[in-house]
Amino acid sequence: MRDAVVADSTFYSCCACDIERKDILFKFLSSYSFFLGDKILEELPKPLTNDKDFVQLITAYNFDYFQLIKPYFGRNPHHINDGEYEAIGIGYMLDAQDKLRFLILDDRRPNKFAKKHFIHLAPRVTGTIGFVQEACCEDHRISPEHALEFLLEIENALTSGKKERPCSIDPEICTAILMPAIEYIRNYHVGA
Amino acid sequence: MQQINATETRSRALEHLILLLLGAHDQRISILHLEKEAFFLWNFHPDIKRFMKFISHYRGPYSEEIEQIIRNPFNLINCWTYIPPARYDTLTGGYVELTPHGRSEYRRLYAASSANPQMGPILAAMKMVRELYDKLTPEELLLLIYDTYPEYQKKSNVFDGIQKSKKRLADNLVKKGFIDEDRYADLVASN
Repeated sequence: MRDAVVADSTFYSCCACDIERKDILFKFLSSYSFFLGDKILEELPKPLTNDKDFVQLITAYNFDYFQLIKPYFGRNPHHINDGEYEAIGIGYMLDAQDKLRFLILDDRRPNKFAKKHFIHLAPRVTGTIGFVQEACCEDHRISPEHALEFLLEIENALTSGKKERPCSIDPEICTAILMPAIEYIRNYHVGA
Repeated sequence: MQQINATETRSRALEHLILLLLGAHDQRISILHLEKEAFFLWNFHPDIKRFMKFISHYRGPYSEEIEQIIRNPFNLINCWTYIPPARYDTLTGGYVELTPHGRSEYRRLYAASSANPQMGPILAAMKMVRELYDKLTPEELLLLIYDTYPEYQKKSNVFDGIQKSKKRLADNLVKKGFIDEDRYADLVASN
């Protein structure tokens, strides 16, 4: 059964920093098998990576996946430590082993790259909001209450001005993706 | 004696790596593509560094070991066929394709390697580079290589030809959706 999830650092930082709800992150980590690499780990806040429970709930790989795709991005040192490309590499490996369920890429450039170059991977590529919706309504691994709690926390962080772009979500994405997802899960919850 | 054994072991391991890379996508591949894809793997995984070296060359990173193994394999006999380049082909270095026996050997080796957890990332990386780069023409591949690894390039007519065509080649890469506008700007601006 496919139950592996690979996410870039945005997903983890969203829970741990933007909405400051490590408990919600741990619910996700307990519901799937989460894989990440050293570069993503380096991008995460130390209080999270030093947390013993966090370390137990994830599997870490240490290979330089950026080297496999570097010619498509060039020598720009800006990209060398980008965890997103590491996430694509680990996601590709898990997909080849029939384990990958979701590859969460919130940044547009790596998201587009993964979908364009690896067509078989495209159905697995999603953003944080899409992941939460599918984890709840398709896989039933997250309860509607928890899914809504998480998404409403993001909305609250944005509308209250507490964070400028929680989980890389701006007002435009809020209207186009976040609010419809909240609506969808609410209707799903009522229907169920 | 020990040194001979170590050399033989290294040579056999490299032939196996090449067979795994050739079989990762069931279609013939140019020597140019094979060498560059092996180079990406060499940069990716520390274990692969033990089996080959890369030097600068007029077609970018070049490995003498790969060239030798493709033309004169010592252990894996009749597993692949080398097809020399056409008369006016100065880019590809020829092509190589698996024989039916090679495909069968590949399947056997892949099954054995898959059982080793340490090989998982390497096997997946091989499929990944074949999927990413086989679709590029030799010119498109060289454009990306020259730009990304200037330390491995040697000035030549081939290099000059790619430089002269870089805008057309970069346009093609954008049209095919293989690179985005940022990468396009880098490629066109570079010398």
